[in-house]
Amino acid sequence: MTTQDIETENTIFKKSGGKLLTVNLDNKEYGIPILQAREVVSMQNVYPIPRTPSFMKGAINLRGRIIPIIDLRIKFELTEQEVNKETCIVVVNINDNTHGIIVDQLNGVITIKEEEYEDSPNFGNNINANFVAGIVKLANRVIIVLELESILDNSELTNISELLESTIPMTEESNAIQTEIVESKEGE
Amino acid sequence: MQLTKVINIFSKKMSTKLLSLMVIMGLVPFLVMAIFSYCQVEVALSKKAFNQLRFIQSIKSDQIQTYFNEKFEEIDLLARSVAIRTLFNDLKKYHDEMNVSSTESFPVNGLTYESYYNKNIVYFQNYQNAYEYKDIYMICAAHGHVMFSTEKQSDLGQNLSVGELKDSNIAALWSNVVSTGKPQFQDFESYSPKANAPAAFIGAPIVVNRKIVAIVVIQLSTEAINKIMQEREGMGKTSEEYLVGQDRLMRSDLFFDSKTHSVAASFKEPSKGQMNTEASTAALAGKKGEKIIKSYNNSQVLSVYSPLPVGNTTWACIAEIDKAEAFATLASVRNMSIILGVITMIGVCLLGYLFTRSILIPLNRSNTILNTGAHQVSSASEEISSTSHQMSDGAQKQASSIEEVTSAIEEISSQAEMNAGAARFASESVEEVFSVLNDNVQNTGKASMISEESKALVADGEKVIGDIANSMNDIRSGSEKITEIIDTINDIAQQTKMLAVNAAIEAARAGEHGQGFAVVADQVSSLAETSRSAANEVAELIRDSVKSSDDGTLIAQKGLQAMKDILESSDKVADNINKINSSSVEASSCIEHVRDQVSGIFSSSEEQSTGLNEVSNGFSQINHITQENAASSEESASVSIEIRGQSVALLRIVKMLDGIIKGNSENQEVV
Repeated sequence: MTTQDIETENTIFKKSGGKLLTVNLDNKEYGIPILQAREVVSMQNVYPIPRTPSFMKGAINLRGRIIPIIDLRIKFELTEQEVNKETCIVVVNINDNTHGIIVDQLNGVITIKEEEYEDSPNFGNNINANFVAGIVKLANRVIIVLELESILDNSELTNISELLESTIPMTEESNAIQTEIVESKEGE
Repeated sequence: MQLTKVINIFSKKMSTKLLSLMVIMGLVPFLVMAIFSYCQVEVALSKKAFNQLRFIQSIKSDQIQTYFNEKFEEIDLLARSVAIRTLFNDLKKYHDEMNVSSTESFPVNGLTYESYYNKNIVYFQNYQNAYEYKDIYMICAAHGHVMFSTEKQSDLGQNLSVGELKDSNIAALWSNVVSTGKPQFQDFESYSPKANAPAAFIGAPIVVNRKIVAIVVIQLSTEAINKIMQEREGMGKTSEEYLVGQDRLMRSDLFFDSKTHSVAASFKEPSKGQMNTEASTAALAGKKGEKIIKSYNNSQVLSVYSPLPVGNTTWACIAEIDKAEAFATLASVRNMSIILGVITMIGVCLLGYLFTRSILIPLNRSNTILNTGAHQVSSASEEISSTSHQMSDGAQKQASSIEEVTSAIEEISSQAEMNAGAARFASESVEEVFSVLNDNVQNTGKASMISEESKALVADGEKVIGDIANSMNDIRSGSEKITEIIDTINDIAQQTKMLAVNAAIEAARAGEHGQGFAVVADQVSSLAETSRSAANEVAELIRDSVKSSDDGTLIAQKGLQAMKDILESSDKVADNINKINSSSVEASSCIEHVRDQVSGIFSSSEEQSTGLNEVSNGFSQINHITQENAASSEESASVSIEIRGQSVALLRIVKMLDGIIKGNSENQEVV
C-alpha cells in the first residue's frame, strides 16, 4: 500500500464522506474520488496535439480553458470504441493540473462505507496495479477505484499540461471573474 | 439623521481613531501633571519670595527705629553735656550784652560773637562729624533766636518767632520742644537756608534750674538712612527697600531710580517723585501686609509693607521685588514643560503609529482573505444556481416532449381503434361472403347473380383491406416518431444526469454547506435514471407494436391478394357457369382462408390496442417523474439562492469590516 493510496483513502472518506463518481469503461465500473473530479461534460471536438503519446487524444476548449484529454481505453490497453451518446469526459484536477478523461458512460455518484472499501489488492510482483487505489464491493457490483495520480503521473503529460497552461490568455479569465463580481453587486 | 451621524464617526479610519486615542491618553495625564506642578511651583515661589521680603523688611524697619532711638539718646546726652552748658553760657552772656529784643534777629557778625563762636566751634564740629549730623543748632528758648550753627548758613542769627523762618519746620520744632519740654523729631521739609534741600531735625531742651533756657537741634543726615536702606545683603537683583513719608515723598533714596526718587529729587519735584502706590497708601494708613501690586513705574512687583513710627509721625517701610525675578524659576518650569510636552507628543504619536500599524496590517490581511473566500462561495453558489436552472429548463423541455409523445400515442390509439373497427367490418363481410358462397354451392341456379354480388362484395373487401394497410403504415410512422422522441428523452436524461453529477461535485467541494445540496443532486440523478429506464421500456413496447403492425400489414397484403384471386374466380364464375361448383368450392375455401386472415388482423389489432394502453401508462409515469424532477430542480435552485444570500450577507459583513478598518465611505452605500 503506497502513500498515495492512503491519501486517496483520506480524500474519499475524511474529506468527502465516501462519495465516489462512478463511470463505465468496457462494461466495467470504475470509481473516481469526488473531490478529484472537477466536472463532467459531454463528448466534444478533441483537437489532436502532435508528438504526444497515443493515449493522449488531444485537447478541448472548455469555456476558454485548454484541457488535455486522455483516452483511458488506450491507456488501459483496451479495444477502442466508437463515440456514442453515452460517451463523456470527466474533468479531473490532480496536483493542480487539470485533465479530461474519456469514459464510456457516466453512472452517477454513490456514497460508500469504509467497510465496503478494500485497498489495492496484491496481484503479484510482476503485475503493475499502480492504477488501482482500491476496490469497492457492494451487494451486486464491484467498483475499481482509480489511482489518478499514478495514471497522470507522467512527465510527458505534466509538460504538456504546463505548456497548455502557459498559453491560456490570462485576461479572459480575469475578465470573467470581474464580470461575476459585477453581477453579484447588481444582485445586491 | 442620528444613524448617519454615528456612521460618520465610525467611518473615520481606524488608524486615526487609535492614534488620536493614544495621543489623548498620553497627553492628558501629562498636561494635568504639568499644570498641577506649575501651580504648586507658583505658590511655593510666591511664598518663598514674600518670606524673604518680609524678613528683609522687618530687619530694615528695626534698624531705622534703632537709628532714631540712638539719635534721641545722643541728643539727650548732648543737651546735658558740659560743652553745651559752656556754649550756652557764652552765648547767654553775649545775648545779655547785646540785649537782643524778642523781635530782633540775633546779631552774628560782630567780633565778640566771632570770638565766642570760634571758642566753641571746634568741639561741635568734631561732634557733628563723629555722629554724622548735618548741622548742630542752639536756639534761644524764649525768643527763638538761632544763636549757633556749625555750618554757619543764612539761618544763623534768624529769629524763629518773627523772622523769615517762622513758618519753617525748625520753627515748628522750636515751639514744639519748648511747649512739651521733651526731645522731639521734626519730619523732612524743604529748608530754604540750605538751598531748599529737605531737612529733618531732632531737638532737645537745655534745662537750667528746671527751666528751659534753650534748645539744641541736630539736622539728620539722609545718607545715614540711605546707608541702612540700601544695604543689599540678602536681597534679590531687583529688590528695592525704601521709606515714604506722610506727604508721599521719599524718605530714603531708591537704589535703581535715584534721579526722580531720591529724597532730594522728590522734594524738589513732588509731582514726579511722589510714591503713590497701593503699598504706600496702605502702610501710611497704619496697615501691615504683603501683596502683588503695580509699582510706581507700572511694573508688577511683590510688595511687603508696614507702618514705621518715627517720633510723632509715621513713615511707610516698603520692600519690593520684581515679579519676573521672583517667578524666574516658574518660567523655566513652564518652558521645560512645553519642551517635554512636545517630546512626549512626538513619542506618543510615533509609538501610536507603530502600534496601530501592527494591529491593522494583520486585520487587513485577514479581511482580504475573508473577502476572497466570500467571493468564492458566492461564485460557487451562482454556478450551482445556474446548474439548477439548467436542470429545471431540461425538465420543462422533457415535459413538453412527453406531451407531444402523449398526443402522438393518442393518435395511434385512435388509428388502432379504427383499425379494429375496420377489421371487425371485414370479418363480418367475409362471414357474409362465406354464407353466400355456401348458398351458392347449394343453389347453383342463382350462381351467376350471386357471383356478381360476390364480385362487388369482394371489391368492397379489397377496399377495406387497402384501408387496413394504410392504417398500418400510419401506425408505423407514428411509432417512428415516438422512437425519435424517446431518443430525445434519453438525451435529456443523460444531460440531466451529467448536471446532477456536476452539482454533486460542486456540493462535495463546498464541504458542509453542500451536504443538503448533495442529497438533492443525488435525487435528481436517480430521477434522471428512472426516467431513462422508463423511456427505454416505452421504446421496447413501441418496437413490439411496430412488429405487430408489420405483421398486420403483411397479412392484409395477403388478404388483398386473396381478394383479387376471389375477384378473378368470380369473373370465371360469371364466364363459365360450369365451373361454378368447383369454383364455388374453391371460393369457399378461399373465403375461409380470408376469414382466418381477417380474424388474424382482428387479433393483432387487439394486441396493438393493449400495447398502446401500456405505452400510455408508461407515459403518465414519465410525466409524473418529470414533474418530480422539476420540483427537485426548483428546490435545489431555492437552496442555492439561499446559499447565495448567505454569501452576499457574508460579503456585506466583510465590506463593513473593511469600511471600519479603512474608514472609507463605501460602507455607507452598503447600509
